Amino acid sequence: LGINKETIYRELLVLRCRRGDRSAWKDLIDHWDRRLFYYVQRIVADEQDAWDVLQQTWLATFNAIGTIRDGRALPKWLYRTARNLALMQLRRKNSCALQDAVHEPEGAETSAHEDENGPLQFERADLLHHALDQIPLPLREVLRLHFLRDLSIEEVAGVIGIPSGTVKSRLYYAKRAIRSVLERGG
Amino acid sequence: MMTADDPQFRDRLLAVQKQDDTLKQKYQQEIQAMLQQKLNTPMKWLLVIVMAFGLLAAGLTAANLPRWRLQEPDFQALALFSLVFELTCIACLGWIIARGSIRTGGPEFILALLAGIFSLVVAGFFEDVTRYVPKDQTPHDIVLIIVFVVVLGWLPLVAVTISFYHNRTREKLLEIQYQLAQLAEEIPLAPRSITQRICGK
Repeated sequence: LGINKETIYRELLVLRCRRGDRSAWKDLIDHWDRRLFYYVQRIVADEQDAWDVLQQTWLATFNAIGTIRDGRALPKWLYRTARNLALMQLRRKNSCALQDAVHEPEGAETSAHEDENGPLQFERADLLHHALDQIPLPLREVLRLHFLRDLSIEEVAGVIGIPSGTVKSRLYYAKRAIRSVLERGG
Repeated sequence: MMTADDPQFRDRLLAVQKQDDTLKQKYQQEIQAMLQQKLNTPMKWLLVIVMAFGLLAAGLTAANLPRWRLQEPDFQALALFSLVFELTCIACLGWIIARGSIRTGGPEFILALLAGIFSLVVAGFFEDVTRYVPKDQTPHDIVLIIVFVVVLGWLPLVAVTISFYHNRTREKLLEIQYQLAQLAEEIPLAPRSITQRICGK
């Protein structure tokens, strides 16, 4: 059929939300809540802040749903809005953390490489989850978006506001960093 | 060993993420309140005022109907149309006030408000202009202006209605596509069930 079931479902939800269907809104929120929370909490760290950002993201979505013409654009829209709001929250609370969040990591501007050691493998999700917290935020952000599997490389680039090539190189460095954290034993 | 391409990878990773139950509950309550947007007091009063003006306009239109009967039949038809339109808008506003909430993202609020304001414009126009027209003159120009105003006022409503039905059609198509995608997932099982049926197993 060309388009997968999840993409159709998401587009359907957006259309239903646009005509004010409350159950569709509930489904939409249920569908995205956990992923957005997972992404946002890696930026703002404090859980209360993450919930606040998520709430603001939904409020922005309620107000803008009429302008989202293509339901397939929703994932990118949600992640970008959540990111902007999370950075605003961070700016209000701690400017040092913001510096860390938006600054380029060392060597990340090199060209993209093929993953020399093959795909990232792991046995326990909790180990990977904790290892993610130990790598620099810009690398962590790209890797989280990659792990959530909602966006293409181009869309991730659009969310973060960097070129696709930089996303690829960050992914490379992020995987290398996470591998070394896992090898060190977390 | 699991990789990022594994279908269950994301779910396992998300499951590790801990959430504080109290904070989550509070968040969910706030989201619920956001979904069912209760009318706040200033908004309620604004709607009541708009409705009162609508009632006044409808009263004026109804009171002027006998006078307009003596003039052009087109003019009288427009007056009747305006009255029905005003009453419909008033009913819509009354319904929203009685329910006490607005559906987020739904067009009904915008439609009702647009219609309410428009009914006031038309009614006011009727009242003011006809007052200064001599009784022996045929108000052709006024009728034309009113037709123009009515058409202009209806355009946003027509656009919203077209967009609404366009979305409904798209929704139906997507529902069919979704069902087909679901069926496509089950297709690999079909040959086996046919074989089973033929072999009687």
